[in-house]
Amino acid sequence: MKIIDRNNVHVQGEHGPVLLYAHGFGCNQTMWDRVTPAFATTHRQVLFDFVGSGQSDLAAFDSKRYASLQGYVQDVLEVCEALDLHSGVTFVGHSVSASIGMLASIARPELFERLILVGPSPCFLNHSPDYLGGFEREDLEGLLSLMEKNYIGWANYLAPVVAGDSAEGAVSSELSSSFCSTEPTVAKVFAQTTFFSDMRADLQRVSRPCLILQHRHDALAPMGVGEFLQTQLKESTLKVLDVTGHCAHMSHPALVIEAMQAYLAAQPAHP
Amino acid sequence: MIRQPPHMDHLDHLPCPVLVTDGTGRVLVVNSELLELVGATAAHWLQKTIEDLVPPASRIFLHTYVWPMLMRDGAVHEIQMQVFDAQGRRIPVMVNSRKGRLEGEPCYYWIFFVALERSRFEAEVLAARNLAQASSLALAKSERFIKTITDGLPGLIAYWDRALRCRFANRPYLERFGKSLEAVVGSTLQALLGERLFALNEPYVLGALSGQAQQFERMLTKADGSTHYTLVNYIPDLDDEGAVLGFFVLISDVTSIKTSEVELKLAASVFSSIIEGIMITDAHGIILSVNPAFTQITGYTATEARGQPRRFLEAPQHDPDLFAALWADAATHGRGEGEAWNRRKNGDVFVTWQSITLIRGVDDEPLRYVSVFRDITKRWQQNEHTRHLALHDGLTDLPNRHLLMERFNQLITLDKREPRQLAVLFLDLDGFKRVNDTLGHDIGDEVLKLVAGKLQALVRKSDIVARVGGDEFVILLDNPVGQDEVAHVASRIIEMLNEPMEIRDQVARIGTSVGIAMHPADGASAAQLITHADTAMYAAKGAGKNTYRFFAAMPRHLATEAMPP
Repeated sequence: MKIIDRNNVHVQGEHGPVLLYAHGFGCNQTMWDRVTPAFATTHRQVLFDFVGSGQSDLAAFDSKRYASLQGYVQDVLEVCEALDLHSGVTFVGHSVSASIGMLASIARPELFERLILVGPSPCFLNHSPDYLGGFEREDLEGLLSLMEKNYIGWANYLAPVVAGDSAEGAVSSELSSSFCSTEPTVAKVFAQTTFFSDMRADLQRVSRPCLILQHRHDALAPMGVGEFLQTQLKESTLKVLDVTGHCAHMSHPALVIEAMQAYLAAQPAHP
Repeated sequence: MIRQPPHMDHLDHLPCPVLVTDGTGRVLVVNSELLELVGATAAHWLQKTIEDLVPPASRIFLHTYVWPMLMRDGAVHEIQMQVFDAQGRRIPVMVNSRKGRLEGEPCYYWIFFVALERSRFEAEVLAARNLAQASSLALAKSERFIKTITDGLPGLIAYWDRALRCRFANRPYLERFGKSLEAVVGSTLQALLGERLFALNEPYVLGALSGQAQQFERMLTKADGSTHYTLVNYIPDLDDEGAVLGFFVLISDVTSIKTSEVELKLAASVFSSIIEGIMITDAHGIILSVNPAFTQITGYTATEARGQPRRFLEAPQHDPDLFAALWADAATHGRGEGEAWNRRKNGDVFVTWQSITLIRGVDDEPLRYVSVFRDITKRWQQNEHTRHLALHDGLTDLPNRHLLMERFNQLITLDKREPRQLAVLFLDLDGFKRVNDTLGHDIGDEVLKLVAGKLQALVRKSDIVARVGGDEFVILLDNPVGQDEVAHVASRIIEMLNEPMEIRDQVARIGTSVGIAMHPADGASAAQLITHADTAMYAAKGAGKNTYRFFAAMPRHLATEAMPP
């Protein structure tokens, strides 16, 4: 199976520096649909789904490989390899993908020019009093059970749709399959990897410049986490977006685009 | 105080909790049903966001799933979450939300369905699904386990259903038929066995299908020519009502059992038909079993013999040490062999040639003794007879010269331990030739027999009378009181033999000349003493016959003359 098919890779534009977008847990590459048009003429933009998400090849899912963030790092590096990218890549990652991007840049610093991190969090769990990721372990276990319940709900909902009975269901079918309805065992692995990983110790080893796009009110990645990241990452810029929520690129794409453009313009290309 | 738009009051009429937020989740409107669910006042909630209504897990779910879907598609349906109720409890809810507008601004309408019942039900469904998954895993595991076990067994195991289609076959079964699992499972018994074998087995198949367990044996000749025995079991599989669903097949190779059974039968037939008596005892010598030959030889039945100590046959007055030595040999060397004297039930003593073998158990401790014996009494008696013939005179049955010399030497040997006197009387009949010539040899023989009888009647049991020549006899007197007694015996002999003997209407008259040598005075060896007695006998003849002479009393030159050259 080719990487291009496995990770459902799409390349938009043929010229310009590369922007590589990585989606967060629960979503897929379509979450970037409101950002990419702004760079259509200036950049070559690469979108993909992690194995187990979106339209990726589920058969390629390996619960051992993806039980660690390194499995997802491998996806990123293999996509670059498949596209013959060896340098100059600007990595744009949301939420857990910010961590994945940072780990990829530690593994292959020469590949990446810089990283744009939207709502990053190196660790979602509280390690009080030093670090408050926002959640306790049982909260994340509650999330897993909620995911499981909702999968049941969708499965029930989808049953008549498959039979072609309901026009209303057809909409939902597309919605669910394209967005959230992943195989629960697969989603569970990604959820566990996302929320139980802790990459704080690796932050010092990130050598590439980073732009941290911090939501002002973000229940998943609170302000303190963005500030902590800035202190840990050598060459980082913290930009606070006046946004409530965790998905500024969807809720306030203009703010994200503006911040990205400013960063990409100000930062001279790395030698 | 922030107030919600008054034209939204009609939401209070809706029979379910409703909430309106802006695109960041800030609360714009709450209806009364929602307040009833979550408590507090509208004014309280108008300063909060939707996140404040839900526990952390639902908060994550909102951000990772719900908001992205809402923002992309404008609506979500039937999302399961939890909200905190007025008492702070987590209440499961179903949520629908749709993007709309409020006073010209984009907003999101949220409708909650309290789904306590449904959630409980779904939780059960979920638990049931997990349980089903777990049990199907467990089932697969246990099937693998059973397969591992049955594959590891040496027996052939299979299951055939009512329609005689195979449902299960273990590896040895497949190997026996040289087929793969796929080829056997699902195929019919007829196809597997072939016409001939199926016809052979059909009665048992029908029996099993009628609910009766079947067992039969088959003898197979393998390609290498070896013969194998198999024991086949068909065990019906019945449902609760007793209807036959199919049957299990268990085929065991019983060749070794069969072979040892044959060997056992052979051993048993040897045991019962052999002419040797066999007695098996435990390690302590208590009799466990005996064979028919034992009964025939000893007269004791198996029941009488069982439980008796091994010595119960023993005739102790005959060589008790020999008997003990035999068993001791068996105990120490594993085997003892030799003659032994035993006593029959009727009291007769008999001689056996006995061989005793020790059998050790698996722990190498003595377990059994097997005593095999033959009654050799007849042969022993024959041997004794032959021995008697060799040492006795055929006519008179008196000891001959050999036996005489043997006994004589024994007595002289005894003398060395316990000094004693011995008298040797050498007799030569006077007038016997005349009896032979006038009355015939038959009468002569009868005369000799009568003489023998008379001589034996005269002496004691410990004395010996031997015939050493045609009409020559030697008498050995053991420890006579003195020379006078010897002289007295010699006179009595002469006197007795002088009496006329009436034989078949004939009368024979004889006399005898007796020469006497005394031990130890007249010699140290048997041969010397006999020679001296012979010499003395000639002296008696010279003195006119029918008299006796002591060697010691003879003139020196005569005695010396008589010495052998």
